[in-house]
Amino acid sequence: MKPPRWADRFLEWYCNPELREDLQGDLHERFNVRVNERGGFYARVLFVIDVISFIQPYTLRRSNRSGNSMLHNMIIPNLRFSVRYLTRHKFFTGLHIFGLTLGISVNIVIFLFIRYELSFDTWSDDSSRTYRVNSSWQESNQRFSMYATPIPLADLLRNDISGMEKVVRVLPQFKSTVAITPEKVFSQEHIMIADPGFIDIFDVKLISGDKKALSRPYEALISETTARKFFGDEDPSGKSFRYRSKFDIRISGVFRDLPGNTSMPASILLSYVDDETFTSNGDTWYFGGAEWTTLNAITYVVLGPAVDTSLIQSQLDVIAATYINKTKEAGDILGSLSLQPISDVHLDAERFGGGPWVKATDPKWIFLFATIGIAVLFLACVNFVNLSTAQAIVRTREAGIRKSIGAGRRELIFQFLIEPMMLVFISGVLAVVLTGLFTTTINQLLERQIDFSVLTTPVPVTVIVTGLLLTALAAGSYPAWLIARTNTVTSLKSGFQNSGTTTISWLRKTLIVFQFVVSAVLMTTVFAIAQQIRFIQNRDLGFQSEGVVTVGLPDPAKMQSFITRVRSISGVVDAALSRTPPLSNDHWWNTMGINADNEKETVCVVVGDEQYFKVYNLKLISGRIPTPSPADSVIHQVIVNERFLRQLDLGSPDEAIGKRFSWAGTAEITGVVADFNSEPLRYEIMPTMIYQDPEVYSQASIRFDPSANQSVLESIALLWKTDFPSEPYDARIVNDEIAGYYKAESTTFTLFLIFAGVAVLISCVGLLGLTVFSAVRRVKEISIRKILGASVENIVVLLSNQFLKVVGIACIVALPLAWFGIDFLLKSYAYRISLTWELLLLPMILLIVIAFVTMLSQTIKASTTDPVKNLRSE
Amino acid sequence: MKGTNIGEFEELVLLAVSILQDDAYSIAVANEIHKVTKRKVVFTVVHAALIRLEQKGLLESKLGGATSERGGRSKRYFTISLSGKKALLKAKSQRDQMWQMVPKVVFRNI
Repeated sequence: MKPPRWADRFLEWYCNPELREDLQGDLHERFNVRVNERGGFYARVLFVIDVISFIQPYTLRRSNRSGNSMLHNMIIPNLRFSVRYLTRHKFFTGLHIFGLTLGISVNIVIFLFIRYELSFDTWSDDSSRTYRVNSSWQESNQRFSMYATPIPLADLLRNDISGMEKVVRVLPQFKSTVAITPEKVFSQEHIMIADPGFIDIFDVKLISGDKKALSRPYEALISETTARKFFGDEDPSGKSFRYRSKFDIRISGVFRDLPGNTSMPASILLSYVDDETFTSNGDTWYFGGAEWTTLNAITYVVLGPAVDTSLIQSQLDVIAATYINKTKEAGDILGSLSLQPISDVHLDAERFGGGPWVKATDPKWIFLFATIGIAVLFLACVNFVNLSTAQAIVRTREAGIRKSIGAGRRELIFQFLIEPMMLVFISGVLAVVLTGLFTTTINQLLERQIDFSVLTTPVPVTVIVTGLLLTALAAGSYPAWLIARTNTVTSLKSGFQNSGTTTISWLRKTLIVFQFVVSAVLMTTVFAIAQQIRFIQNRDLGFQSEGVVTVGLPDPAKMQSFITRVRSISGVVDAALSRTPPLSNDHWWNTMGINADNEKETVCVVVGDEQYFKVYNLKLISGRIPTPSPADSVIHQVIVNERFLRQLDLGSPDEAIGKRFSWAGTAEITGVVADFNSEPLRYEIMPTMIYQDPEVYSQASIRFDPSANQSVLESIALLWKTDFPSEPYDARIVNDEIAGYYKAESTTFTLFLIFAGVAVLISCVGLLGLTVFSAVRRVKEISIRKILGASVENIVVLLSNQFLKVVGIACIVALPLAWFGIDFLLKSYAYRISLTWELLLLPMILLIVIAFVTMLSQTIKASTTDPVKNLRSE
Repeated sequence: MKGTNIGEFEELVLLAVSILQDDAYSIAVANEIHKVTKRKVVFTVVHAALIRLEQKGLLESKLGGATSERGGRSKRYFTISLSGKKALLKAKSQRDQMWQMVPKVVFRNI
């Protein structure tokens, strides 16, 4: 860990060479002590503070002092004037710093977030030549864009295609059991079967072992964290584990944990074995039964230098034509292959989330965040512009005196720009400290591992300093120009200066309108998201998940005995065997039709036994639940939902009983269940089929008496442990699992809440400043009005009136914008709230109330002062 | 004569340098003062005081003792000079003298 280089350089630049050597040593020593005591981030920040605090007369370089006349004649005296002015107006300075700090903090976080999102998977030197091969599938009129490709693709690319430098195939696997000893079993996530080239493409740093391990069957490399989890401090090399209770794997090396910004955060890398039982434990998509229409691998390629992608693309088209589209198995499904630069992978959210483990980020969110960030910062600048122009009358006198003793316009502008610069830079430092303090909270909220200590490295420092300069210019140019252009003579004449004040007050009002438009749009959005979340959570899903827990059942042979004994636990109402709960993002989707030739409807397939309906309270409309059909039966007896009948044109629920359709041979409808939501509510209700198959049951759904909550769960766990002693226990409350599907929504909500909060705060702070200013300026007017009989309420109304009108206009302007914004956010939901007037108006009324209350303290103060005191002295 | 009199903080710095003998460089001095007085010692102030005392001729310094945690840079070791020693002794004797002049009765009622 080293101190930030730029600060070190800065110290070397300003420090007197005679003192430099040991002072620099001292600061480095302090830095190293702090790294050990409080960690890198604090040490770096404190180092910068140390360097700055040593800028003192006795440490400065002396030799070229006389040459630095600019510094000594202009900057230092002007700095002093600015400091005096800012300390004399503590209230306004406080307002500015508060607003700017908030605005800059939000922007720093957004900047780091965007930088992080754009840095995904670009670790290797060849990342500009690295591509993922994607596939698309056209099935009747439906199109599926996939990130997965067939397993044989990699070998074909490697052997038959020119221009490939490297081809890497990986197969991400589901969470599976890893047994170190029969007693020590882990349920391990992020296991991946990978070619040796994965090490190069993702720049995996090996601590021990070499990448050739991945070309030897049943060998593995494991990450540092995993090694510690499995073996503590022992060296894992040469040890072995049993994978999925079937395969013995030898560990031949350890690699450093992959960074947070990778889409493939593998914990265990297994070598590829050509054995379907070994490779089939991951997400698999079937577009037909053949090898080339079964997708469960991800294929990466590194092209040779100067290889044209269009050349590769044409070869991929040939491959797709020969191996997929011309074969008989594919039927009328059309497949195609394409290249995607690896740097784009994390930003392509279209393909079923972009990857199996890490969800891709939609670039539209990145744009949205950047826009909001800049808007919020602009709000803080607006405060400065408004208050400075309001106070310009006072400052013009100062400018007049300076001009009369010979200051030019350029010098004046320069001087009045120093003030916003100082404010912005003080706020900048505060903002860095503030974001540093909330690192963990921010990372938890965004679900990222952003390293905030990069804030002291050159690129972010440059970006932030440039950003601050631009902010200062945005805030300061107009007021500086306004003050500097004043006519010397008129500015020194006593009395009010009225020239141009109407345009200025128009400008101020427009800017306030802008501020409150931003605030109002953000606030209505927050309200809408909150409503949408409530709507989703309270929606009737067509089944009851309250009070149901699922537990995984690893061994099919023991399922029946387990379920029978679970039912006898007191407090358990009923229990059923199934593959998934009724709502899950892990359902099978099959295509079906009345007969084999027109299989074209995508149907959600749920597997559950007879009790499944009772446990989840699924309503049977007609027919009956079939008894389990013998394994060799030709006709599958199934239950379908109403949507299924409509989609396949099977008539009313009563008519449908006994009708047949084509699925895995022939299926016969024995019952119809009422529609229920089988997918998270971004999707509509799908045509759904439920059938029984003890072969694929993998979990027990247990409905329990909610009053006996904890004790029941404990007895279930106890029973489970005796039945499956060497497996990891995995119990989930179904309601929690469903709520988990909407985590993204609640994160969005929190983010918008923060944005809206910051925007409203900054706007109100500005409004407060203006109210104070106008109350002070109109103190005489108010006193006279009071003497003539005006009540406190009259005065409060008088003072708030002008600003409330402006806020009101802002709300009207914000209405259509808010409508578009909310519509945009809700568009991705199949089930969404309808946009009502209340939804738009309520937050706006709240905003007006907030604005009024903000001003209230000041307006009351102004209207309760003693008029005699104010009028007596001139 | 202002030059020969030293301030309270300067006295602490001189004493700390004397205590530390061969190991008196800025950070050690700051730590020593903090250890004895328990007050919050600002490093910048200690550094400035050391340099000022050297300019006044009460301290002498030489460079040496570079270590890797200092980025390979030397320390500035301070030693007390003859006039430094005189100034310290003068301060102490002035104080002792005044202590002796304080009548014991004064403290009795406090």
